[in-house]
Amino acid sequence: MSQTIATARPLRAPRRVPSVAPLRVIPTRIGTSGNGAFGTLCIALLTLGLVGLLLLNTALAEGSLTLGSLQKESRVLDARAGALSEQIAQASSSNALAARATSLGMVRAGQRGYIDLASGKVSGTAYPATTLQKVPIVVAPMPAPRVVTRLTSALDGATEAAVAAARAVARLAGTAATPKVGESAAPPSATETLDPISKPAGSPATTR
Amino acid sequence: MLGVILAVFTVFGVQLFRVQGLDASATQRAAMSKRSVKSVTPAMRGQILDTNGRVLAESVERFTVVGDPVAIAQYQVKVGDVREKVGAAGAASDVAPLLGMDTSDLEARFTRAGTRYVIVKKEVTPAVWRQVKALGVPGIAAERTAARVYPLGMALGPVVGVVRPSDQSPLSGIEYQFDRTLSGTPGTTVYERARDGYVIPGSERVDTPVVNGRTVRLTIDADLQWLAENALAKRVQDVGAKEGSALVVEVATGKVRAIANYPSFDPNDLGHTNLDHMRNGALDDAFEPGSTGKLITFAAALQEGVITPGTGVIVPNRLPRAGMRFKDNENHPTEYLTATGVIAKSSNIGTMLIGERIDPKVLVGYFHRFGLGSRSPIGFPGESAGDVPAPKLWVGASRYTRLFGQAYSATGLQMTSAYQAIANKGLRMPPTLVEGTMNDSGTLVPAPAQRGVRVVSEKTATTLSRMIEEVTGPDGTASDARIKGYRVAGKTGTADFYDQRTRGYNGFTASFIGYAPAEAPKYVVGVFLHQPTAGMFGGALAGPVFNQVMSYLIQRDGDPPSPKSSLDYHVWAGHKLSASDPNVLSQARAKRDGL
Repeated sequence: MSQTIATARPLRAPRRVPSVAPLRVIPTRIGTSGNGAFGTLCIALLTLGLVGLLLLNTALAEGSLTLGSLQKESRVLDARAGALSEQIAQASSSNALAARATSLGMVRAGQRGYIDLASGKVSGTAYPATTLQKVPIVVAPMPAPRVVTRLTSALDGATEAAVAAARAVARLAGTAATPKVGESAAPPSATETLDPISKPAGSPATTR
Repeated sequence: MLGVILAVFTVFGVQLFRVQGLDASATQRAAMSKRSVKSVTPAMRGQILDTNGRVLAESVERFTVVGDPVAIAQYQVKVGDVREKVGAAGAASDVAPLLGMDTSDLEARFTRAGTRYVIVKKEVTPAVWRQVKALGVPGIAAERTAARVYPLGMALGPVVGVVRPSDQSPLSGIEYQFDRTLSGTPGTTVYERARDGYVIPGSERVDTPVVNGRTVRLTIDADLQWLAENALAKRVQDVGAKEGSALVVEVATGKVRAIANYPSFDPNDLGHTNLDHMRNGALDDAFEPGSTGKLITFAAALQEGVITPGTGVIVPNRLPRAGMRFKDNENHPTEYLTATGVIAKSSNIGTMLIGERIDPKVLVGYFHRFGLGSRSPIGFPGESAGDVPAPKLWVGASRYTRLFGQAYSATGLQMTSAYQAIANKGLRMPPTLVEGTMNDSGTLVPAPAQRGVRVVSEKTATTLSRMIEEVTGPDGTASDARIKGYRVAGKTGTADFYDQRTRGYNGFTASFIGYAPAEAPKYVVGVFLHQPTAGMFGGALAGPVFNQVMSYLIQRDGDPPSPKSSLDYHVWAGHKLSASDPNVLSQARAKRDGL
């Protein structure tokens, strides 16, 4: 700050009388204004700059287009790689391999013999594999409900007995008509419960 | 007039001062909360791999395809040079084959009235979604989701566990136990958004990068796991057992190479899952092991010098103890066995005559060193510690039944681990299930190593191992576990099964735990079948599963046939033993010693 003040001080000094510039005549027209080199240079620079800018912009635009298309391609490839590795994991999983091997008719290896390379001694007896070594593959995560089949057959039996009884009653009564299941002798509930249970894949109707 | 203008402007001025000066920060906050938007990038859940790097569980990208019925109605297709409006019906017939859906069902969704948001299909693969997107149906969009796939399916369901399909949160198994490692941290981006939806240039932007979940590598061997599960499943079905489990433990390291349970569940198909079957019974269920538990009694008796393999034992048909008359599996005349014969023929009475000579305090110490009565270092969700009663509770009949595996409980894992100790020359390696986790650069950070527990001396272990080879010998109880050409050591178990529902004994547990080749075993295999309906004996029921798994391992490792053992042990004493002989164990000697 003090410096500013110090330099400003001479302005406050008493003014000197200004010297008046001497008057002179200027030409009405300036004939020559250089050889145009400067102008050319300016125009050239401007042009170069503009062209450079254009090229830069084009390059940028092109770059961003390439970037966009490459990113898109990368996404597609990424998804494909994901799908393929998923397929590999599925196909190489032990259960898929075992199922495929069995469907090709492959079985487990039979007993093997061994040759001791050092002594040339053979131990063990090798047997060829047979279909007895076939591996049965279990795919159901839980055993099939056994009770259902038993229950079904029991109910079937009960119904047969009921129908037979109804026939006997009808015969005794002298009517020739075949009795319908669900009437008199056969309790209606028996036939109603028969339907859902006789389906093999029905829900496990456990009795215990 | 001037006064009015002045008053109005004064009010304006005061308000301006209040907003800009006094409430400035609050106003700024309100404005900021209006502008700033937080977007979340979900973290990809880590994989679960087997010991060889095979995938046991992984997350994949899926899409939920959604539709806007109003926009779909405007669907146009180009026919020749003209665009023709085909609407929802056209869209349905174009999209249906791609999504594998019924056209009429799809059309019903596309024309649902009164809504602009219809879920078309969930769990669509990226490839299919790209095809649907390429059709250019207006109003059809997709939301990115993740799905978890389990290539091994039901073979490993109870171990690897499962995540909830809706939000990928863990429900059970390894998924649950290692959720913090597997789940990762979602990334967030907070930015300022203008009213027209564009990001305000130069505005503040906070990025928290997403940290994807890490991969967990298990000790499980996928091939072996499948084989064990398949063999077990077949057997459970064949013998009509309620449930069963099978384990394979590596002898040298204690690493668990397979844990099979059946019934099981398929984590890819939660819709058809019985909640009860999601349990990992091999680790979570404690049961009375039965005769497989005689191993501990014999290990203690050998180590404490009570018996040698050739010690004569006079085994009567009945043995009176604690006011009861104990019996063996079947009636027999008085037998003259060796100690080896007692375990080979699985005689309860013989085991009692041997085991009653060891103080319960000492025996409980052996139980604990064998790994019973405490949870394994695996720490599996719901894992049971089993129950080994304290020495002061060894009274009455239970003091004797504990010698042959009743009146205490252990898990299948604990029992298999006990046999690992004998197979590993007396050094028990606590079982582990996780190899380690992968760090960011993809290298394995191993799980902390377990220190071995010296259970019995190397000599005792070698002797006992040779003794239980007689179990699969000509006079033993496990002819079904034999593998031709190989020495197989193991023990059968047939125990009364305690049923939680009936609160009493109901049915049996049939088991076999063993290893081969007995002179240099690499793996121990334990098989447990609970409540079988066809048969009850461990050798006949569980033996074939052991045989299948063990012979697979022998073939895979190329183990050459076993040479003959140098230890010559016999089952029968060979001559009539005298009760007065001070070296022979008998009821008479027990009386003499005041037992």
